[in-house]
Amino acid sequence: MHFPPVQFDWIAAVPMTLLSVGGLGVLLLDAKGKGRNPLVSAGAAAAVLVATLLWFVHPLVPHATAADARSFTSMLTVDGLGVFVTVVCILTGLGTLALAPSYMAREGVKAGEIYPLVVFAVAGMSVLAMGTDLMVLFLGLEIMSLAVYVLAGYQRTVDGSVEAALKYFLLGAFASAIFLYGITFMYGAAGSVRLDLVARALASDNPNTVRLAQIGLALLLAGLGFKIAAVPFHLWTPDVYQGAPTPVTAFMSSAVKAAAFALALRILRVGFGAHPMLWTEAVKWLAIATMVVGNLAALVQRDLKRMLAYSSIAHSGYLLAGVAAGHPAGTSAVLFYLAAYLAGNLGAFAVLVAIGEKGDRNLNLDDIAGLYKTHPGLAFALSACLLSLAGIPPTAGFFGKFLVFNAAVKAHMIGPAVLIALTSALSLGYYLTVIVKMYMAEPAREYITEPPTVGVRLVVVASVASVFVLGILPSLVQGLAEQAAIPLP
Amino acid sequence: MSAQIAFYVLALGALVSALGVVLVRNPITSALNLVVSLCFVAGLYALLEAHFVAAVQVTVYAGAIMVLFTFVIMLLDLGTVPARTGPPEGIPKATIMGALGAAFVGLVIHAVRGDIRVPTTAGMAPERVAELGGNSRLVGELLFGPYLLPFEVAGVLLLVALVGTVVMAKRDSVAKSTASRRNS
Repeated sequence: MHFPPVQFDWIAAVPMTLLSVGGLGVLLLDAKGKGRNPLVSAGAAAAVLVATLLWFVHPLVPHATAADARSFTSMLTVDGLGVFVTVVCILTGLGTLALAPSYMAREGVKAGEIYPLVVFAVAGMSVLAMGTDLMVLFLGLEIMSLAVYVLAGYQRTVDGSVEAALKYFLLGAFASAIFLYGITFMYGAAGSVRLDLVARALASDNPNTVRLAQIGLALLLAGLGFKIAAVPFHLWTPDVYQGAPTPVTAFMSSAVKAAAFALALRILRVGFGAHPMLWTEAVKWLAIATMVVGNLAALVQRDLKRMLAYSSIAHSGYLLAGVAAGHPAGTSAVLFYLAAYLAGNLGAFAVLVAIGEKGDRNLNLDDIAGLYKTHPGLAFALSACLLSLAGIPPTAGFFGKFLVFNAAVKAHMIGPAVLIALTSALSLGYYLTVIVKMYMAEPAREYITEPPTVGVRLVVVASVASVFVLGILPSLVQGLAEQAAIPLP
Repeated sequence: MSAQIAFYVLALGALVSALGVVLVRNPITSALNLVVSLCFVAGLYALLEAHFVAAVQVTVYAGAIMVLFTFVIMLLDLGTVPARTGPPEGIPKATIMGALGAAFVGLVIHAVRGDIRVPTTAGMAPERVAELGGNSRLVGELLFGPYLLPFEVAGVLLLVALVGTVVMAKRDSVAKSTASRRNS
């Protein structure tokens, strides 16, 4: 052995090991039962996610401070950002697992493999959230993406789903290639793909290094822009979100976004934290374009899933504004926003699962007219979630937007700050339309929807509760977000 | 000097055969062009004294993966893309794309012009590699030493890809069997 013995700190690798081995177990369990019992598979997958969640609160695990952060040969680290985002992704995964059985039963799809794939996707997300080496980060990105491509096309017999999967797969593979190309430039610039070594190489201010790193960063941002659906890399989003099974759309819009933002924060803060002039302007303009285009396009949508897809693009814009606003206010605002967005978004999609009919019919603006008269509970839940997405107090979304706005003003980014306020007002146009339709209009037709299952009810209740808890007592999560943001340079 | 000549010959060969991949009409010829291109790239690796990677490039990429490629192409029986008649469509789009691509290439050339020194942390000198026991031994030690984590994570990635393929293929066969039942 010619190398000095490598110090492995296995603790950093526990979450992803738990998730991937657990995913394998769920897969085998499902194969053993021949996929006849989806609830068992869903339960087992949920158990794996909960076990990982419990591991994070175990006393063995270091708390989210810089001194305690553990690493696996400097490629993986358990720090605040990683833990926070992984928990957000696990919670989204749990929501998806709760929604999937009833949705798949309604669509008549045998859905055995959807549960292990969700667990694998979360495993990839945990690698994305905790990786500190571009090679490991890329592998995590691909694990997540591959699992989600398949999930998006799970209804193999439905045209929209196939189209969604194919479009997402082809464009996503292209985006991944661009991201990988960016990594090669980083290696050329720094001689390493470890983000701390990239930062060290940049600190030398060698013009060659900076030039190469600039090109690399541009390519990395393009790849990231695709994953978070930032304008102008957003063109796939509406079709894919509409075509994918609704629980998967919820998963994609919340968890994939959270993991991709963790990746963006990690690269920009750890690798380029000392050189904000290389990326702040670019991210700022991405944010501006994304906020404006996402909100304007959402205004004209009639299909609720499509509307939420454009709303998801718009929210990427607000999050990007937080990223551009810098550290630490912007970073903690982004983390809080991700949690708030998860609550509102997951709840909205859960209601769509509950009121949808086979083939996702019944999800048009006219179809939900008078929902208040037939399903007052669901109408209230959808209203609460949409108000949170719009950013009305006392909901979680309000504080998310407030924190991002605050961070932007502190960073003297007046343009984006004004746009956050303006486009939020604009977004009321489409969110309120839905609410007005539900409460003011007469029911256009009879609802034959079966009562929602326990899983769907749980998700709806938990989402609405978190929307209000985060809105009234934001300090609960805001403290964690601030703590998580501090260790980053 | 001879190394430089070898580099230009290999690089030119790789580029020409890569152009062949996209320009040729017959998919099988296209795939065979890719084999040639991959072999030239293997030569470039050998020139960098990365003999192990060169051998892997030939056996895995030019060998195993390309056999699969040709298999699939022959199974699908794609035939030859017919020659284009009449004026080609999408000229403005292609022009914009081409201009953007050219701009990017220009940017890269601008970035690497002049004195590029790859930082010394990257890689090892060939003499040092030989001293430590040669290419394959070093690759093995690195793979199961400092790079153990990415190695294992790549295993998970392959597993997910495998599961995903089975899921998509299985659904397809279910759909097909019901369709054929309906037809009969």
